[in-house]
Amino acid sequence: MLPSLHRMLCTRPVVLGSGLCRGLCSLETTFIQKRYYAPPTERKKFYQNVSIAQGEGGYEINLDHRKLKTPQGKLFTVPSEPLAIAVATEWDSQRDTIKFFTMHLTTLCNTALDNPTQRNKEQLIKSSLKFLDTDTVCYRVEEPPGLVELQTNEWDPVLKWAENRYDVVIGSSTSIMGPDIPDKTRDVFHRHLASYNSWSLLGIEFMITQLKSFILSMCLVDRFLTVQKAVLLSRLEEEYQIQHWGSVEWAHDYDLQEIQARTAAGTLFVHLCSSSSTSKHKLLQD
Amino acid sequence: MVISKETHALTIALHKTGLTGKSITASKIAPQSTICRIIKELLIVAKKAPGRPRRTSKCQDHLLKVFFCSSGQFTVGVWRGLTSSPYKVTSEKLCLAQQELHFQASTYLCLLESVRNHLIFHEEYHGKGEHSFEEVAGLVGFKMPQQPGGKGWEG
Repeated sequence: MLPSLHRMLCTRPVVLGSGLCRGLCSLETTFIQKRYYAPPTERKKFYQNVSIAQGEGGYEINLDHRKLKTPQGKLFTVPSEPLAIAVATEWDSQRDTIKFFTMHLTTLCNTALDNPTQRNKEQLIKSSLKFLDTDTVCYRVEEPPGLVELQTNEWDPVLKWAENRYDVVIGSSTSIMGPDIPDKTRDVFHRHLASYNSWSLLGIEFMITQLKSFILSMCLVDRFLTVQKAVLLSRLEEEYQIQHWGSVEWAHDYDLQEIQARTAAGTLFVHLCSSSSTSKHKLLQD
Repeated sequence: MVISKETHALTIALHKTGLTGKSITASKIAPQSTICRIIKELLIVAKKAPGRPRRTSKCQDHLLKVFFCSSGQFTVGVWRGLTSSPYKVTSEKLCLAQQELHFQASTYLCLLESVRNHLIFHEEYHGKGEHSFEEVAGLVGFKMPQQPGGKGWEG
């Protein structure tokens, strides 16, 4: 049960302070139903046409004739054209209301532009590597036998691939302390992550927090697994329990679709942000 | 289902490469089938004028072009079929390897499908805000007490 508990704790952060505060406030203001501490999740659609334009800092998005801005008021510019188009399509797909919680690529770009947590590249790498200590695919159970077998069959090939691909030792463990990751492994991954730009790193960290696994995220970055497969492996214990106890649509399926959407967005974001550096420009001919 | 000229041409080109309508939808050969499914997903959210069938928007056509049509060996073949298209394959664009293109297409399809499904579940199950005390009391068949003189702590 441990990995699943770990996963639940990670996926559902409970902000005790604000919850308590709200409880107290609601005593006094019974008629106020809105949560004022949270930004609105929807907004009326105020534009008709979406287009992209090439500006000085990169590609910009135009909503009718207004330029899209980030929540902090900066001009929204992204480094690659496909990314700009994917973001524009997100805005274009909104019908009567703008549903921000479905616009994962926009959200990622906003975070990269505004950097609300004020973190630099080194901090991003560190927070990504932290997940290696409690990586989902390294955390194994000892019972029930069916799940043990499932984890061995499904997770071992992934682990083996990662160890071969990066020439490192990772290993798995059934202990609550998790596996002992050698320092050399950490160094290798640190160097590897350092080769990405800060936008890509943000995407990688986002993927890791969805999958609760550094290794599965690297499998996606390296295109070893599909998004669906990676999400399935990340939710392996949940899937096992679903087979036993049945699926609850408002919890399991909701969760699955959300994690899949976010992971796919993260993967796409990383690839679109890191591939532009490899494009070649044609020499002018006459 | 009516789609815009460009997307229509793309679908025709897919047919020309030897895939029938049935096999385009049923075929597991990525990314032909993947692209068709992406177009389908895009059409679901596409703007719909009353009385007219859905059509892909300019933005969506552009997406298809940039994502899947100006890069990769597969798409070169597809775009050769589009003689009337203003877009031509140039060597300036990065030519993604076939496998990378497949991966990108399936990832994007996964994003579109999951977002749509998530939204369906969200609208069905996500909380619509909080109930007031009166409503909660009403749910279980109680009534809040009436206190005309106030509760005493309002100051």
